Amino acid sequence: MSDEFLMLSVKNGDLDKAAIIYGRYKKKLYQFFFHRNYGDKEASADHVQQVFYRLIKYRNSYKEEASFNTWLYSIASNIRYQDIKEKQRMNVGLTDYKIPESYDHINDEHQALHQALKTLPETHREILMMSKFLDMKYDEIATINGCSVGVVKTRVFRAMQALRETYFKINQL
Amino acid sequence: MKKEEIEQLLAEYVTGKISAQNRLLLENLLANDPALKQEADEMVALWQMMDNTIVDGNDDEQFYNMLHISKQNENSGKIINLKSKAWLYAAAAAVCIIMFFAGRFTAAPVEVIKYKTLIVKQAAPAPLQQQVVKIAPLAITPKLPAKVKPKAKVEEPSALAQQLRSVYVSERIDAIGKLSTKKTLSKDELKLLELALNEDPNPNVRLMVINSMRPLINIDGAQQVLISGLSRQNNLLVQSLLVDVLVETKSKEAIPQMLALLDNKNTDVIIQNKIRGGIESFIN
Repeated sequence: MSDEFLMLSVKNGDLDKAAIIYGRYKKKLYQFFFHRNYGDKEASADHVQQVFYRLIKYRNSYKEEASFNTWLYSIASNIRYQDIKEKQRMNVGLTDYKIPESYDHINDEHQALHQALKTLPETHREILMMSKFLDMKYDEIATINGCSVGVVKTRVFRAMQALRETYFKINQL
Repeated sequence: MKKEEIEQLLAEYVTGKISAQNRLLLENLLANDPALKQEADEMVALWQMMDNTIVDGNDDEQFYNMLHISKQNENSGKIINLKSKAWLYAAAAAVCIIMFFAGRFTAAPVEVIKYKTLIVKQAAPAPLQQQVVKIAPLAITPKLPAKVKPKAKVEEPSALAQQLRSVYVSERIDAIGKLSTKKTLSKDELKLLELALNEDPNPNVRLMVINSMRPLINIDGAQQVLISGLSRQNNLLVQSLLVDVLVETKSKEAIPQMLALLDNKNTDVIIQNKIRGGIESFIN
């Protein structure tokens, strides 16, 4: 069953299908938020729950012809945007938002990769996260970012190139 | 191949979104460039490593609790769908009805004014009786005693004259119909018809007079009756019929009246044309 079919079922009242979507996307979304939230584990888990809460609450806004990944990304980016605004309202700077070493890495290699991801420019990292964790197609990413598919591919390549260089630098230390 | 194109192919290759054709193309390139191949392989390894960098920290129980609550709300919503706008309309209608009846019973009584239409059947008024009083010339009878006064002779109007003065049009037409059946008309009857032709307010009665006089036009005085009515008609139809009858009979006595009508600016063009035609027929 495709994600779009599952989401339409949820929209039509079959809420059990939301559990299947949750199973497919919970880890990807967690990773997406984890890398976007500077490694804040609790905030990432909370954001994942919020995504699925909104997915059920606003299920009627899902359109049949729309891509599920794009719709899910719009929810996720809204949640993150609202979180940033909330933090700013509470006078918490983005630098203070970092919670160093509060996450559990499997090993040093993974920790090095995470550190390398953090060094990427915001635009490159965002595109990488969209492609990797939300399984979005290049044309979907291009539409959201308002650029051509070629630009998206070039950014993905540059991001991977920078990630590789940084990763090996961290490992050599 | 340009550098940008190779980069885009590598991006597709690393992310696993490369088509079979492009894969073949890239693999040929990589086979000829070991350094590029090593770079591509390391990127693929990093891409795959990203899947397992972090332990899943999701709280599944929280999600399933939320899902359970949502399902409960969904089921309760099915019994009474509060989100449906139809309920809002129904509630608004119920409130309006209740307020309407509550208002009727609590408001101060308003005096109700009822209107009725009454039709009064009035009896037909009695026909006007014209009494012609003829006073005999005073004879010089000095010998008569002063107390003796000459007796006034009162002529009773005929039944037809009474009928012609009726307020009902049908009765007046009936009276004219009776006159038209006669073979000849007396002077009094001609006067009655003249009076009706010139004074009757109803054009149908006047038309009836003209039609009834058509067969009797050769009677002495009949043409004069019609001619007298020529200048007094204000109805186009009556005037037209009158001209027609006079032209038919070729009444030369009517020519001065017709010429007067022709000169009159208020005379209708149709009548004027008829008169012109009639006069020409007289001349010819």
